[in-house]
Amino acid sequence: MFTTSIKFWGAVAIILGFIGILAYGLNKDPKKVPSPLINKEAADFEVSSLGGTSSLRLSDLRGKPVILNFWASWCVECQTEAHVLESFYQQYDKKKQQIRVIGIAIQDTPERANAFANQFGKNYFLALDYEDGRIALDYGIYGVPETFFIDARGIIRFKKVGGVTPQLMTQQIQTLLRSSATDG
Amino acid sequence: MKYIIILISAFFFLIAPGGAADSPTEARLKSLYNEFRCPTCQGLSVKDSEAGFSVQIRNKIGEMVAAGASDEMIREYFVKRYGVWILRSPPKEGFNLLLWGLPAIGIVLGLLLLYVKSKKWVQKEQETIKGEPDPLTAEEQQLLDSDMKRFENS
Repeated sequence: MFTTSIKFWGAVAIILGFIGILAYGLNKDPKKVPSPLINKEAADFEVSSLGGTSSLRLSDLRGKPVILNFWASWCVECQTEAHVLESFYQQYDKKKQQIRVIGIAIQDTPERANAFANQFGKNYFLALDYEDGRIALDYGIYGVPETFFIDARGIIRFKKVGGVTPQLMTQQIQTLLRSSATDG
Repeated sequence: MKYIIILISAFFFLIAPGGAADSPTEARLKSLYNEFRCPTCQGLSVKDSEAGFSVQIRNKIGEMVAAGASDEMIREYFVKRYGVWILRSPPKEGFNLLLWGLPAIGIVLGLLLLYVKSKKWVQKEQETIKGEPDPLTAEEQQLLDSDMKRFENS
């Protein structure tokens, strides 16, 4: 009687274990898989601004933390985060010149990207990814928006999949500025 | 008439799917495309998806193959950027070995269990056959006798 009970509950435990593993696997958001790029050097690239008036090479920005945002004119969530990025650009990039904010539009056209930038008041450095999507591929982009927080030494410290919030921006910028101060 | 048949046959040969075999490079590309997960789709490989990211990954694979990169180098390139997640089959190393080995272990254990159980069942059955049968009750004996008598008289 006792042996049967052990066997029965043992089988139940094994089945529940399998169901648990299955449920964990099915509920795991693949987009929350940690990026292998964290604590790695940010891939360098050179781009021209959307308006074509200036160009930028990421490695030239060493010495200042960089917020690298990937976006697209067809992305709804990018509309929501546009004002967040813009307000932090105004405060930390334009005014205090402590960080650089860069936006790379992917799978987009210059006309649509420009129209989006004008509509949502994006004034920070905006550029278009190459036609072959090499920048997006180099940064392992799954979708838009995605934002990378790169420290002053050019190391990726954090990646946000989905829209950024003011809380997240404040927290990450403070971390980057603190580490810059320590390095400096 | 002969020419019409030849023409119709030629037409069907040309439109038949998979009529022309893939070149080794095409076959290699298809096999590589099939190894990578479409980043924006659910359960599709980049081979079966027309999403922008899949097209870009396919193009990059094509570019790397043309540049002489090995399959391993191509896998490494994407894993370095996207993580192991981008591969549809986890690599057969480390903890992943358990995932690959688990089904085989399950099958072996199942067969072993089946063997042990069936051996026990056979043994039990043989023991039952070998053992002395229970004696009949008076009622059963009476029924048997009457049946035998009926059988003999028939």
